[in-house]
Amino acid sequence: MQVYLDNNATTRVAPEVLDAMLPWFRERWGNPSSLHALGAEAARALAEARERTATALGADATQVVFTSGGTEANNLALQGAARALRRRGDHAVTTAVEHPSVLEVFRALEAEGLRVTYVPVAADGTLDADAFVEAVGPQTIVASLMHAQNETGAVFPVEAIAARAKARRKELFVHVDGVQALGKLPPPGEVIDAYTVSAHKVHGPKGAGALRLGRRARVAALLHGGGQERGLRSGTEALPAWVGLGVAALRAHETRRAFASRAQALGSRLRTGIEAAGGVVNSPPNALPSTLNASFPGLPAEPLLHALEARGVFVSTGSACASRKGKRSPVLRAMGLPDERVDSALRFSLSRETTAEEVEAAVGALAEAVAELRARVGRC
Amino acid sequence: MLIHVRYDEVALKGGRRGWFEERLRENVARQLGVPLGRVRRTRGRLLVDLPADADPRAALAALGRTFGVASAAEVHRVPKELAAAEEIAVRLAEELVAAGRTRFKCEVRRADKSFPEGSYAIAARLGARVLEEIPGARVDVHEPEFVIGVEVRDDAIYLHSGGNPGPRGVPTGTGGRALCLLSGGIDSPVAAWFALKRGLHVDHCYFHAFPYTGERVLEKVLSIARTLSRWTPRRVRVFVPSTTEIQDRIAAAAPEPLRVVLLRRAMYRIADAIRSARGHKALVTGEALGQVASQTPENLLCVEAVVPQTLVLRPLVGLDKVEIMERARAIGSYETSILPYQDCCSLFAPRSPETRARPDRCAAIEEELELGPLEEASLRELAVYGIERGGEPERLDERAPPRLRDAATDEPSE
Repeated sequence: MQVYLDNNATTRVAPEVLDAMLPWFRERWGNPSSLHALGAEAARALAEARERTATALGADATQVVFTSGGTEANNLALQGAARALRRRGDHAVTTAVEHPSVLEVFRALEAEGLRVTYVPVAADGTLDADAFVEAVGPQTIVASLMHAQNETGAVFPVEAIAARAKARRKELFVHVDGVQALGKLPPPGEVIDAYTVSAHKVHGPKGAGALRLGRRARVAALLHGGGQERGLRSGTEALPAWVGLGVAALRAHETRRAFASRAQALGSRLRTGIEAAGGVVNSPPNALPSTLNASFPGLPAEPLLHALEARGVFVSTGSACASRKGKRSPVLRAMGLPDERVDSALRFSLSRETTAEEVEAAVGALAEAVAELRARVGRC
Repeated sequence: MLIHVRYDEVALKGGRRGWFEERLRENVARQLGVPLGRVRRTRGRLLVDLPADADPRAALAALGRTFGVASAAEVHRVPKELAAAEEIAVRLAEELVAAGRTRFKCEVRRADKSFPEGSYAIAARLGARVLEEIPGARVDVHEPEFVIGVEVRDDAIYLHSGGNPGPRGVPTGTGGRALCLLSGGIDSPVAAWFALKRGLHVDHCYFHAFPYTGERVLEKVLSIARTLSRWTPRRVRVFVPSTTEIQDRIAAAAPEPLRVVLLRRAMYRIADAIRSARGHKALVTGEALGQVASQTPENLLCVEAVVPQTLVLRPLVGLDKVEIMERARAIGSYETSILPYQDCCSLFAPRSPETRARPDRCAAIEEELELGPLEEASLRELAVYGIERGGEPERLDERAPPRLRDAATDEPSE
């Protein structure tokens, strides 16, 4: 049996999503900007995809800007806002555990003169709301924080923080990276100026994402050209991908409550199995139940991952992006975990397709893999 | 479409010159994917008659990866009339001047001494015509930026402009075959390349240790082997024995400072069994001196001691890290080598490795650990991949090689 527990990295495309996309490759390839009938039907499909995405995000269709994915949406929000608000100040606030598509944007903006405060997280991975709010000063123009952390599942109280931060600084532009939260947490309210989502984390296609923009939010475009997406994101619309995003996002939204309760049960079963195998859970108590980060002290993470893989169970060390760089997870290090915990950390992430049977199989495989690795390296 | 291939080193090989040239001719034909009949030996050169649909740029690039080639140039063949030669000279100059090279000269060899004009007169006429037709072109016989080469032969006039430098070296395969201990790192592919350059066809041996190393590392190594396979005209084999059980046994019971030396001794024994079964004449490794704490002369000797009958080549011994990286970039293996997928378990590496390992002590420990049966098992379950001139690696259904060799006699041990 193959058990895929790396859903925070990416998910399988749902059959209904693929079915919705295929006609726009095969039979209806028109450009939404074309004036003939093929263009008109593409424009209608685009409008419908936008409606669906907007519904999933608790917004109007006019507020949705489609992008190539979460990274582009984060770039558009942060670079776009920093540029639009350049004259109002020179400071930004974010957290130390953001995704690279946020942190690296700030690093680039720092090179252009922006000052950035990186607010640390507590040892359990939760964010100190007071510290974040207090970092906002009279020169702060942009604040960015994630809704749910990709490695630990920690949930940040984005609306409360945004409201308090804006009380200190009225012009503040607050961006929230909601890539891991879509379908798992309710979309935040209007107090958030820009909210990023991505299709492939919710059984949609790779290469599709969106930025929900507040009605008064102003961002400068990064891609100039034909003026598509209200001039904020030029380029011929990726219609099949965005149709897929619309269907996937709406489905994730509609199944959110059902998934939350299922994930609670499956996550707690998995947690028991992890602890029985000698694992120590790193995710905080308030984390999404579908994300479990755990360390197996004394066992190196990558061989354990491969031992699980040999038993058909696919997990991740840290985030897929961080492991590609072959470095210690900066997120777990930001939590102040000792190297031994960081080096032995695995991430198990569920999706709404995960079954109880799969979780049982994973728990069994984990016990075996840990026993095998202990027998192998316990003697090192 | 003709391509003129020059070679220098092979021309020095005295009595065996004809044999070396023949091997080079075969290699050139294979690298270009053309029938042997299209490559002719002529007056110390090779002349390739490319099929009309062949891409001359791809052919020149392939010759840039053919050891023994000193340079290769596209050659134009015209009837023995100077007017025709002038047309070609103008066309060649036009391209090069457009590319920003303006100072040129004509170099004429008049092999057919019966041709009415002398070489100087021919050069003057062609040069004058180029100056007349191509604005910006200038003659500079001392420091030209390009040379229009002209050869007047019995059958025709041949023209070319410069040409691409080849990798030089000795035609691959003329020295037999070698087996390289290939890892996913930067060094070993460069070592393999140097062995190829000196005339050895190189197959590879990669030691896989699942679950310490994942499939991504195997893929990375196969991808490096694929890059290297573009430098040899013959099928490259990659032998993949597993060292997981051996590593475990060593980690469990051997003195920690000796772990790496003991593992390398096991790897050498396994590689040598493959070498001997497959007829490779040498082992090639990316080892150098003093790069890491454990790479001391004593340790290298201690590892090599397990294969006393085998030539072990370490081409990188004279290079530093910067030189190795530059070479890896030129070969094309660097970008793959720096991918982060690790090829060694950090838990296995000793905190303070032995720097003066002794063969007798290691042998005694190995006896106690009973590594022999584990090494035999590793050989029995060997996976073999084949790669053909840069193609997709393919799993071969080949039988495992026979048993470990007895170190002293090079005979299968009992």
